[in-house]
Amino acid sequence: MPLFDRPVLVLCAVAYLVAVLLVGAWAARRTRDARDFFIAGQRIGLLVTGLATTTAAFSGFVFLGGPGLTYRLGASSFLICASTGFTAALLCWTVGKRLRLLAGVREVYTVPDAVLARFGSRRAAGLAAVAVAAGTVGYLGAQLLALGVLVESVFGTRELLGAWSLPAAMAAGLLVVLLYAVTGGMVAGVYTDVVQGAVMLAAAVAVFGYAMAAGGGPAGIARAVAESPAFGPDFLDPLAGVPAATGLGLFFVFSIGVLGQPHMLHKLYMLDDPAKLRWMPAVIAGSQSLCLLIWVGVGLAVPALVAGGGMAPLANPDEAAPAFLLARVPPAVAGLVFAGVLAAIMSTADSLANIGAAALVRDLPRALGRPLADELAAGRWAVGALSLAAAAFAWAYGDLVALLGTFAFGTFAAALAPAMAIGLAWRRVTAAAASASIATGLALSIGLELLGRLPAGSPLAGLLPDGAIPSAIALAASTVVLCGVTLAARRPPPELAPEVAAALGL
Amino acid sequence: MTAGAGERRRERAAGAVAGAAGGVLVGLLLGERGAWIVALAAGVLTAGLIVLAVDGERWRRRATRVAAALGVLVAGSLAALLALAGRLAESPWPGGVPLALWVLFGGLWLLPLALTGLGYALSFDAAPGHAAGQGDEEPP
Repeated sequence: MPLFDRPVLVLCAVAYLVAVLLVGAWAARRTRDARDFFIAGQRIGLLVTGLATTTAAFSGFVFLGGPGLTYRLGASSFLICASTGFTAALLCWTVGKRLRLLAGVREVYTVPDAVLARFGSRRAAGLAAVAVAAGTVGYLGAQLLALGVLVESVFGTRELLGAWSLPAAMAAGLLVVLLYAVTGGMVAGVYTDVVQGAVMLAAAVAVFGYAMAAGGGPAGIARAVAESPAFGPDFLDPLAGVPAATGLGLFFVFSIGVLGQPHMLHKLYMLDDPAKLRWMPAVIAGSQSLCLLIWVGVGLAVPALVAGGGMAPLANPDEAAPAFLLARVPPAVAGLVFAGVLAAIMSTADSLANIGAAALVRDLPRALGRPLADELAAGRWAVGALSLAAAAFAWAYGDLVALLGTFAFGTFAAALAPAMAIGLAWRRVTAAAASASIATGLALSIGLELLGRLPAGSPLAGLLPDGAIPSAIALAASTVVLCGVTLAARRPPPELAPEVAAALGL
Repeated sequence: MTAGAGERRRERAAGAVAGAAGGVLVGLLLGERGAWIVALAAGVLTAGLIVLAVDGERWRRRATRVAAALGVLVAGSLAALLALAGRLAESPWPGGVPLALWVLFGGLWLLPLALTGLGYALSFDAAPGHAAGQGDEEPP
């Protein structure tokens, strides 16, 4: 595809990029101190916080990776998004009010801050910071990979650059992310989230309509896919196309694992009034469910179109969404949708880059007893370093956006979810139990992922059960470790500071 | 409920969460044979986390009911999917959509969405803080 073969579409995408850069530059002038940079001054209302949580959570993973994963795995991939119905409420029930109240009585900007305030342990907080930084590299890498696929599709760089197309597209995306996140910090993300969220919602609903129409409606799609030799009825059966351990493992990680996602937990600190949490699950789950229409719609329509000969089979499943948009949606609408996808990627990348930077320049040095003098300046340098590391990791990972995203999401989940969800609510959990759980989750998630990627002939290759999701095992294990070490402790944990005990209800 | 009773309630909920997490772990390590264990344990774990977290008498009673319903929905839907797995060709297709997809989108997504969105809002404790022991007193 020539570079400017679709001028309307390219204009929409470029106009969006320019707009977010301007917002980033404007927001930079409003970022006066670390409180602004990390938690947007704690002056954000219900709708903005809810949409910011949705846009932080939903990213290239959902809009590009999701349809790609469905093309490869079939309906099993929907077990990732099915839990969206209740995860927002689970988040608010277990940690929402506690985290917000804690941020009201202590200087809590990050997840490691909350771990330090709850357990009084620099070791636990330091381990949490390492987990946040490690997960950030993977998750940010997934965003950059998605951004590369998107830029490659919109500008048609593959025909011009060949094998260098994706790295060049990722480099272009990396530059935009750096300019956006380094200058604006968290304020840039939050102030654009309402617009970004609105664009994402409109884009998802519009694409769902086009997808259903193109595929002949739900019944037509189901019939075309089920009768196709390439896909067959198992494609539409969530637990038939893949081992049950894979489907159930995905559901487990993406339901319980939400409780350990720092880019979502972090948003709860920003809410101006804790009483506004009442309708937070409705705002988050409602907006997320609408956004997921693009995953479900394109994920089902593309295989149906391929089965019916309406589209050529995809060489790379991640191209499902871009290929559908370019082939089946009018250019102006496709431009809006590409802008929406860009919005999703940029807001998530911005949130993650700043949270990861906070872990490196704020949480880890403090845990080591050596706080930095100028955290704001160091934070901007750390955003750059993390982004470069993420791009390199994504390139080396060499797989689908969704699989990279699953690994990163699972790493956050396994390391942080038990310590946050159980540790903040159960008085008896000790600092040693929290440290052991975080270390177990982090080590197992990364270790089992590496084990699963060993070549087939390797002596250790068969150790992981068939179809098992590494981070699902790691999350279950870190939960067991947290509870086990707590129950085995002979002495009760030390008394909490009164204001922390009151905030957490312990 | 006294403060001691509130603490005992949390101990029991934490025990259920620990047991459910152990069940998930064993089920995942068993592979296909452990799928039913994972399905049931995932439901218990989801409900247990909510029961462990809620406090305040009013919030606790209402939220516990929502948690129980959610746990049943999650475990039931996953079990239904396991029962349907591989038998899609024989299962009815209401409206032309496979039954497994109805279970997936209805049982795991839309019903929990309505249940928890409204359940959280209606049971929300708007008290300004989590004062220690607050709400664990005997109701009047």
